[in-house]
Amino acid sequence: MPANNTEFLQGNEAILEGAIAAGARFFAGYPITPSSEIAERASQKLPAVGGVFLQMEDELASMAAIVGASLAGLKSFTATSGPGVSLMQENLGVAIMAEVPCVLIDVQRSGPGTGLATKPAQGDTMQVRWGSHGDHSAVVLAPSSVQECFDLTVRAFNIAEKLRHPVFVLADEVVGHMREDVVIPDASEVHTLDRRQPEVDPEDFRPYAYGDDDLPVPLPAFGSPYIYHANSSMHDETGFPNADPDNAETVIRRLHDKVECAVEEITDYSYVGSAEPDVLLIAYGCTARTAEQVVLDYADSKVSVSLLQLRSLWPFPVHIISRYASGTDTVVVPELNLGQMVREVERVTGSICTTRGYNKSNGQPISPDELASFIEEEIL
Amino acid sequence: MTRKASIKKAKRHDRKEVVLAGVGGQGLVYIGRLLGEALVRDGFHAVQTQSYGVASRGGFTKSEGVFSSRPLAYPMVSSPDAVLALSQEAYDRLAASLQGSAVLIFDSDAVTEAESKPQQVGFPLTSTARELDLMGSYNLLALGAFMSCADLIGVEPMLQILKENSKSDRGKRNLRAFHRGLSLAD
Repeated sequence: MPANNTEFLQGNEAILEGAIAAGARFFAGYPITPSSEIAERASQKLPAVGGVFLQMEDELASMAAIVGASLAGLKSFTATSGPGVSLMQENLGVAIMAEVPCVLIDVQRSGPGTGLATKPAQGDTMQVRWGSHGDHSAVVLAPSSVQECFDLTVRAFNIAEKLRHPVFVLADEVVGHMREDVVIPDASEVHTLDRRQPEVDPEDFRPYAYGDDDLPVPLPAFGSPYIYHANSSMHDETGFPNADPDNAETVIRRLHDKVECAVEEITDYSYVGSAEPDVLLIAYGCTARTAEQVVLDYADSKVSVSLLQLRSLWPFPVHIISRYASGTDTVVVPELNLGQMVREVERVTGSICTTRGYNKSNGQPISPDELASFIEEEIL
Repeated sequence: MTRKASIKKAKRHDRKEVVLAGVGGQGLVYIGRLLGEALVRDGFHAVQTQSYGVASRGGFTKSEGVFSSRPLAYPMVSSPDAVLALSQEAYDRLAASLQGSAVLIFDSDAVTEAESKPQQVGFPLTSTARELDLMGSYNLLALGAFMSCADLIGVEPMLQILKENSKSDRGKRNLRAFHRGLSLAD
């Protein structure tokens, strides 16, 4: 039975509650189905906690605004869908290179183009990984339930602050629009990472130096005594341009390594079912709910089906995939796209077991019965 | 391939599914949300999803609800236990695939039954709402008739929510319409 402080909220509403609980106080965005409820609720709730809601003229400006607000000292975020992420990619690169923490919510809908605006898809799995030019790494969390919408949004802000890096919450139309029982904990029970401040004197401050922990130094707010150059062109530790090849290599590798070396810390998943199943489903987002139902439906069967639900997609959890794939003969990756994550999974599992995708791209979710039929007809 | 004969899927016990369907603008998502709130208040796990087009009004629209005393995996309806159909298209799409003991409640002013069946019940929802000057609360009238007829959960938590919302004129009309819907099905 649900707890006493249970609410019945949309995934999008829970995302906004998570952002506020994490300490976010600046939203800039341009409403788009199926993410609009995030902006709507932000416009009501952020001003009430002393925050700022800005409806911008488009997604390019929205991304620019949250980068600026973060540099000014506020935890900032935006919410959009795939078409909006496309427009945000330029300034996303600015946030990556200038090492500005912020959070982007992508509630996926069926594409490409304006696509099927009200229908679900998982077509942005690679867009959020590779979108924006140049060598870079990505942090992407993917909720499957309304509770995870809240929990993972809080986590997204904490990771963004720690790494000084933009973080995606990758939801989809099903998860964003569905209403479900969710426990919104008391603010005192939510673990948040406040923005750290430099310990050195302003004249000794180097905005792009890395500490002993191999992470970027704290980011002071514009307007404070710490005066620095936030720079998306190649720079050295001072923030000023530096085209030296050794410096460039160092900077790019640092941007890459701070994310990739945090893979074990960032990785979030759940496992449902027996340890060495006949078939292992690896799924994320709304499709993980379908896969979980299939696991339950086969609970009393002689055929064992288990689920590895990925709550973090990038950095890619190679260690978890290989660990669980070792216990099965066949991995199936169901996705609401024509095969994006399955190739990444196969890169890891290819030498361990058979890997198959179950793919659908018609704007409708995958039902448990059709996934079960695929398993019975194609795998067993 | 030898395993195929041994595959036996577990029945989804302890899981109830409802579909509220009609035309965009009728307030189906709103009553689906109310139903979910009432279920959660009653101690159930509940999920409400919806399917609609890009138009703000018109077009086939449905609001789905799934509930259980246990946490829910698949959030959408596979085989509904009860259906509310408020348009001919909704009826046509959903009546044919009803299984077992599932019930279908429809607006007899909007729907012509393809084939009269004992588990299908029609009520003159549109004309009743018009007579009572409650067209703005037509969805609540339908919800009352649906809940009374489908009898899947008690109406007390819903009445509690509607009473809490009844400070405004709209809230008062909604409560009145819900009561009238309940009595239509008595």
